Amino acid sequence: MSARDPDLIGAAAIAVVAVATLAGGLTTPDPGFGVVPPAAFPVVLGVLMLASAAWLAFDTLRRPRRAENEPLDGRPFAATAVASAVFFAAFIPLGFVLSGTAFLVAQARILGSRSLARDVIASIAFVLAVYWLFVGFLTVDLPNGPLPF
Amino acid sequence: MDIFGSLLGGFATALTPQNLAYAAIGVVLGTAIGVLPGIGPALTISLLLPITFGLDPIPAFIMFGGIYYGAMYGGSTTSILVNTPGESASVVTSIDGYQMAKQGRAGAALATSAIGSFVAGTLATIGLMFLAAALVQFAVQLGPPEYFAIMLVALSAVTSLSGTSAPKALFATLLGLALGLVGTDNQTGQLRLTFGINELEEGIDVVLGAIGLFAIGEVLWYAATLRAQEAEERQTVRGSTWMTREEFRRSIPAWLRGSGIGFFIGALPGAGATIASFISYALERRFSKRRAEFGKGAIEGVAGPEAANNASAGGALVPLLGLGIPGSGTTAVMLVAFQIYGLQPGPLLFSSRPDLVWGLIASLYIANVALLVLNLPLVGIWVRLLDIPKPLLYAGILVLSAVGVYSLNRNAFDLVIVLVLGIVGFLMRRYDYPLAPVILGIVLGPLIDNNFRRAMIMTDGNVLALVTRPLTLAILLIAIVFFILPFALRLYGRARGRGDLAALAETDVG
Repeated sequence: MSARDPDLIGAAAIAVVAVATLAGGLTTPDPGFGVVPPAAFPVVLGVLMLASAAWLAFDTLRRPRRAENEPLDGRPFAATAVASAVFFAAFIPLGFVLSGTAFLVAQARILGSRSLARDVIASIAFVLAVYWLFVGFLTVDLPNGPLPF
Repeated sequence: MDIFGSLLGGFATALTPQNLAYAAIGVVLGTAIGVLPGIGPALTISLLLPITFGLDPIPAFIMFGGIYYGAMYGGSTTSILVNTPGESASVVTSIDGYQMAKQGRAGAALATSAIGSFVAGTLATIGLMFLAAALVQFAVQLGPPEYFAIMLVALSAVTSLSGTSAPKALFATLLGLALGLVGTDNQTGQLRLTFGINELEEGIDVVLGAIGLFAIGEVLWYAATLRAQEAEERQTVRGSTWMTREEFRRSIPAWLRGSGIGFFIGALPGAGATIASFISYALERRFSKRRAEFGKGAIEGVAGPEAANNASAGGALVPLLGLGIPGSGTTAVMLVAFQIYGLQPGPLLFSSRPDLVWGLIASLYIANVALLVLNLPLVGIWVRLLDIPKPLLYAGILVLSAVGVYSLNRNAFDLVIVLVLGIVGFLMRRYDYPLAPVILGIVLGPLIDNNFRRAMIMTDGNVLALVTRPLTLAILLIAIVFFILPFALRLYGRARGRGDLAALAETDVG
């Protein structure tokens, strides 16, 4: 895939976002008061997004092909996205201390750490320090989950 | 009350032992987070915002002043010692700073950076005091049409100065504006762009945008480029962290020039620290008698850009405090900090809460002193922060992000929003879409919509009536110039086959 293709795909993605914005704008009810209805600005944005999609497509086709982008490490990227999603989903039911510690250990491993004992100790210390800072010092509540704290 | 009387009142507010401690904590935290690679000021402030939740407004903003200046300064240490700029505004510092460190002059580079930041921050706060106070006198005459036009200036500038591709920068701005509109329209109570998702009724906070796009996006980026990560070659600080008389003599003019450049560029909407530091470096190099030293360890190449970087922080507060309009991603997050306390910066805040405004300005002076007093002696600690293993560091950023997001509204759906925004931020970074316009757009979206609609009520729906108001017309013309000028410079630079202007115009702004 040359560097031109992602920009054409990008232009198509922008067009999709533009259509969604237009649809969201056009389906906004007008309560009938005020000079400018609430739909106006989203519709203008949708139209301008379509214009930017067309501009990007035109710009991409007009310029010479460039070198390919560097390949990415798909596995750690996907694992990080999944681990983050699981962490966020477990944040309230398991509480901050349990979910945060488990996530830190798992995520450090995903990112290449191979010192399990160090990671576990560092994760517990970090999570407890953050918990104390927010709950004990700043009086900002964090979810407890099954633990008493 | 005159400016000096107001400032004395501000110092009376700020100079309590408790508030001084908050200023010092803010500086230390801002620097500590700002030192970490990949974390710029906007993200530092977003991550640290929850820390101020339990405080009253005045100590909270005093701490924020410290965080703000600390975050602006933090990137320089990484640039000088590791040659890995934490954020774009520190890129230039690494050119000569790292060379100085390799030659065993890391102490001098860190010293000129810290003292330059102090000088620039102090001069910029003086400039902020006078310019914001003058702007407030002018701002009370402005109505919704003028505010609408000024916001267009900010958006056109940030669009044209961001990234390497005009249509991509335009889309980034439009995306930010659309995200800002999500939720309940405050003029009619109608839901917009929520697509039937009830949790979106409250809208998308700019802090979610900053944490999602910058923090989650940065961690995903690190994961996706794991194999390409190079081992750091870190320099150590040998000898004292001080300068020779000759280095001092060479630094002073660079600090002063950098301060002026940084302050005025920082005050322009859409410009900011990155552009200010690039221009400062270019000017120092062009007018130096030792041009050959640049790139090989010229102290002016560190002194000027670092001063410009910190002065731009003071400049960027001028439109925020004077008009209530942020001109950068960082000040957009600052605006949210005001809104959390139910405060709207601008002319009314100067009259309704002078204690807070002048307390904040006084705290900026205090933060600068704290920055100077704390940062050089603590440089060993900042360097040690870079010893944290990268896997734990990036995992820790995600945990802090989750805490920051959750503590904002105690809403689990916000975590979903930041994850989605994180993936969007990763894709935008991968394919060269600038992120700063998205952040600014999220804040300005509802503001520009409200002001346009209020302007239309004033003119009975006649759009052309906007251009019959001389001031509105003048500001709209400025918006057009701001939009066109960087593109014209870029074309001019390409036509002449020179990289300087093009490179400057293609810099992403934070």
